[in-house]
Amino acid sequence: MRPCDLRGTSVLLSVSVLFVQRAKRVCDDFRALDLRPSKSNNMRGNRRKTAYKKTPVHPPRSNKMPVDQDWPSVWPVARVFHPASVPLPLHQGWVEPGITPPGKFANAELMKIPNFLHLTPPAIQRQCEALKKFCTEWPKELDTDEKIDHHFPLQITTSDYLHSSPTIRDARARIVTLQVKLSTLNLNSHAKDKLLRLVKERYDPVTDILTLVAERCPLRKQNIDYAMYLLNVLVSESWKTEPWENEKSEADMEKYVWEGSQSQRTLQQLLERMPNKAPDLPEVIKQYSVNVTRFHNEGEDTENVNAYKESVIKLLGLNA
Amino acid sequence: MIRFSPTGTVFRVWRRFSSWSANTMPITETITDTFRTNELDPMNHRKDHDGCFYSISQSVKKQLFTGGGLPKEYKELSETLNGLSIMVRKPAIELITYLNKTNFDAPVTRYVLYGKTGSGKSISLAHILHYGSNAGMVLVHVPWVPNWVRFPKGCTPSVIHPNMYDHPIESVEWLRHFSTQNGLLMQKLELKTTETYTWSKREMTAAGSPLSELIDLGMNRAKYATDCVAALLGELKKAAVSKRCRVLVVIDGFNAFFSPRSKVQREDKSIVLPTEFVLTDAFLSLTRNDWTNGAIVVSVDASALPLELRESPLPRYQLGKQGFEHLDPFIPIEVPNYSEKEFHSQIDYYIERNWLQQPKARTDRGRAELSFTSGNHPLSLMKLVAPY
Amino acid sequence: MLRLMAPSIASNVIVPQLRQFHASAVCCKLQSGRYKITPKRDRPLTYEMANPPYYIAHRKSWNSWDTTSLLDGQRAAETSVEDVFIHRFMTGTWHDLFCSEVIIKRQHNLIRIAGLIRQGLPARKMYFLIGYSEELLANWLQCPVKLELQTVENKETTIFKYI
Repeated sequence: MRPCDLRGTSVLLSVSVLFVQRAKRVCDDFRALDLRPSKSNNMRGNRRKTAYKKTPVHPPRSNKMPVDQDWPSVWPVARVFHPASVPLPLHQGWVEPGITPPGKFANAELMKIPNFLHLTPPAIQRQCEALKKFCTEWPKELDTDEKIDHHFPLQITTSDYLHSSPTIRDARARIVTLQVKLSTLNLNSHAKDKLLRLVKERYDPVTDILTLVAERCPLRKQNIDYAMYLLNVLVSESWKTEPWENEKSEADMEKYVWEGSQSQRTLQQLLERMPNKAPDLPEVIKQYSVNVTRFHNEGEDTENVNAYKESVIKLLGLNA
Repeated sequence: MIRFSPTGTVFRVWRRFSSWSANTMPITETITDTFRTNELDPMNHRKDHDGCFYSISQSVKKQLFTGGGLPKEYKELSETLNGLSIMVRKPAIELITYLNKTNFDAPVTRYVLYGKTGSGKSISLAHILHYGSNAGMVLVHVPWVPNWVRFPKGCTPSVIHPNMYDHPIESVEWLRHFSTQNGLLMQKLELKTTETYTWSKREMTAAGSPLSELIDLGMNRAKYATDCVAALLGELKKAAVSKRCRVLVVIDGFNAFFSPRSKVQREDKSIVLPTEFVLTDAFLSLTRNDWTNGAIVVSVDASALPLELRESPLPRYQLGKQGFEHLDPFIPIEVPNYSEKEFHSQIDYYIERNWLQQPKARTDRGRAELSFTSGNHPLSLMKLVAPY
Repeated sequence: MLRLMAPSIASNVIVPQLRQFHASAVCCKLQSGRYKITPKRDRPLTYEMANPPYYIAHRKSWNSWDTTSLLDGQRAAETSVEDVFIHRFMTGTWHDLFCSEVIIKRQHNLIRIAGLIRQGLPARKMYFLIGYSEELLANWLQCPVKLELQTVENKETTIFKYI
């Protein structure tokens, strides 16, 4: 009721207005009874709850981002997707065809997936530049694999493991693999044979690499030291000759040797008894011995067998 | 009306045509006839006979193969198909040329036939056996050595040689087989023993007695049969050296002598190795090259050894270290699968004998299918073509 | 005659009283993560709720990212327990404010917690709660914890469809 509005009215009206005003003031002495409090009144208990005044939220920062800004400064580290900081109109979500997918604001899916906004090419370049001062250059003299193998014959391999957990420990990090080519060790035939017998399946004949795996100590450094020690011991032991090594018999031989073999002896006996010998006997014998050795050392196959056959035919003079 | 001719093999020597009806005029065949040859004497078989079949008469078959020598299925098939025909193949021809060219004054040459199981080694050996008998050589034939090693009918410890084992029953059978094969020849040659053999206090064979007496003694007295065999082989060796006879030794499944296992057990259930048999000793001494005037043809087969050692059919692997050292130097001869020509002549033979009854099998496409499914492997082809 | 007149009743046959085990058919029904359609069609679903579990890795992504499920990944069980704890803690501390699931990402030993928060608190209180959560969680889980929350005005912005 605003009395100022009623100044221009007639006398009759003013009387009724005054009457109404008086009645209203009488009602203001008592509170109105609300049997069912409506939420709009914001009455909690008996007091009126102050309406929570929401502070106005600024518009997203991406509206004001210049086009040529320095992006790595905006997004320096890996961070969950923040739509107000990314000036891209992204949509994510599966919807029926024809409907726009949900936008980037209030999109949990975009937050879930890993993003690489912190690893844009300029950021990576900057990081590489920063790391370069800690790097040393590869020596120019080591430009071929052979030179590297020649100067650095020993290869030690260790592995580090990363986890997403409070601890950085992993039991597998202590394993050390040592690889060396036997040709670089300069062993004579006896030493090499003895080393191969000691080492058994750790040697790969195809690549000529001896592999030692050390994992018995708890720390990596200890395993490296142990592997080096093991290599030293193997080489020194293989150069030594024990007195019992003289008892090596034919059954222990690792490969077939023509001299002193049963084949040679039978051949001698045979040749003594043959009436007409082949004209070029020493050559024929040599060929035969080569074929028999090949036969035994390289494994048998039809080619070897045929070569053996040819040499026996020549030996026994059957071609004539 | 199809009637199989009951006339037997004699006619087939002269008539090259199929005998569907015995009394009609010979009809010209539609199948190529080049798969047969008239050359019945193996001594004359040459390279151009490769792939051809030649037939062996019943009498020769009875003489040579009653004690064994042909594989069981082959023998049954030959009886069903009214006659034994053997295909002349390259390995046999090669062997025959070598044997014809051999200088019999030199120490004996040893030939080893090798190949996959079922590729025709035993048949080639049978061919060589026929050759040997035609060439007038004394045949020493062991049909299948694993029979002695794997299924011995009775094995007794030897009396004369300590720690060795006898095969009384098998030795008697072998002596019988030997005498059937070489009966006529032995009568002609009249070989005599060179030393005295004492079997017991009362029995002995004096020096100078005929070999047939030795054989008869062995056949009658099973207890001494194995030693008779050993003695016989020794005598033959000496006879060959002194040029009184020529000996052809044919052994099938030789690598069984060097097998790591046998079915014979001692009282304490330990296994007896084949090297501890007297028979092994006898045949190994025969196959050494310390004598002249003979030839040794031997076959090695993967099925002669236990299952673990069957990886490769090649001779060195099958003989093992001991066997190889014993036989070295030898000439290995491979018995391969059928070549194209041999395959077709084998199919022609089956068609002519009416063994391949499906008309579709006789077409080119049918032959190609047979060749593919059997892989040109003789044994597989035989099994595939059988109607049962 | 008499025999024909008497009706042949099968009642003289004694029916054995068998106690039989009654079992209903097994209801092999999948019902996890699926919401029932309401008659009025006014139940709001977020994108995550609207896609049943078989759409994970096809239309949905995981809520928790770590190395435990890779080959030779360590500590899978402890990590899962920690995830549950973090979830309860966050939904409890930020009461009635989360509009999405709690997203947990682990990188080396850093735990990053993300999610959508309704703007129901003044900013100052939010900052306090962020610091409080980070500090306490870091103390309990013994590794640095970072909260990266996104705020939305009301829950209606996250609603994808009405069922």
